[in-house]
Amino acid sequence: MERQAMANKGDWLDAQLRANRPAPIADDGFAARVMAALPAATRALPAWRRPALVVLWALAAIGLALSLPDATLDVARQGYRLFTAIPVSVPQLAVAMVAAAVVMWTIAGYTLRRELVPAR
Amino acid sequence: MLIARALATSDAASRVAFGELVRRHQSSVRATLRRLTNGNDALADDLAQEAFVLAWRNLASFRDEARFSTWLYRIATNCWLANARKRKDVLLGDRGEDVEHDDDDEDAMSALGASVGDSSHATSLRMDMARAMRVLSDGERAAIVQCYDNDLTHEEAAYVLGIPVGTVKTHILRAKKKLKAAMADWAS
Repeated sequence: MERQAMANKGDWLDAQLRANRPAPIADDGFAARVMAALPAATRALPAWRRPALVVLWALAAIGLALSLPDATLDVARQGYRLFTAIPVSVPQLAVAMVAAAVVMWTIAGYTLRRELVPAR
Repeated sequence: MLIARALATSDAASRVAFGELVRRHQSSVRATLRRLTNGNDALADDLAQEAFVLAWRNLASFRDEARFSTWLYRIATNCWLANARKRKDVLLGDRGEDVEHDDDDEDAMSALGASVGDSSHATSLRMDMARAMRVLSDGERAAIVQCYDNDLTHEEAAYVLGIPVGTVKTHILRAKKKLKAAMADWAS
């Protein structure tokens, strides 16, 4: 009789799978065993560490620049000359941007390939 | 809340908070692993312990993009996979028929039947279902366990199992087809 009732329920298997969920398992000392096996905590670096490092590096750079003003100016001038010496036309810039976009989309497509490939 | 306490406070306090998390989730994680290991309770508990230790070690990497339980299932599934790969080649991908029958599961099924305090009819139904679950491939069983036992969506199951959503759906369809065939007597 119960079988018949189940068969009449449409997707009886769905209902059975849900009804067949495992019963809750008593702890029976499991949590204590886990806690005893835990190693010392490995913590994430504190949130203030990154900005503090940035500030420290910036202060060091400013300090260096102030203590060696001639060298700093020289490096800056040379850098500017190097940058302005490279002639870049608008078409070249456009080609570079298109190439960068192609590379970006290729990487994105490769990353998402598992989602894009249909299931067999 | 508990996760934040486990992360942000002193070592002693974070252990207390993590202990509470273990107590809350141990049942579902152990049950999942018992299903995945075909009723090998000892192995499942060892893997569950390993999963919780890994969770503790990597707690800082937990993001709110998934529920904590789902994150735990993922770690537990990875532990199971790593262990299974030591003994045999287990793939969760969609590779059709990769069924392996273990002969040491009769005890587990008998125990399952004996532990159920309801009618013999329900007991035999449970035992038949447990037997039918053994017909499934590892990937199919894992998908059924995550979607039905743990009530995860296909997307969540895909995250836990590390496979595409489409493969999860295929596993579920194939698994249900096999289970219906194995349980045909109950449907007719």
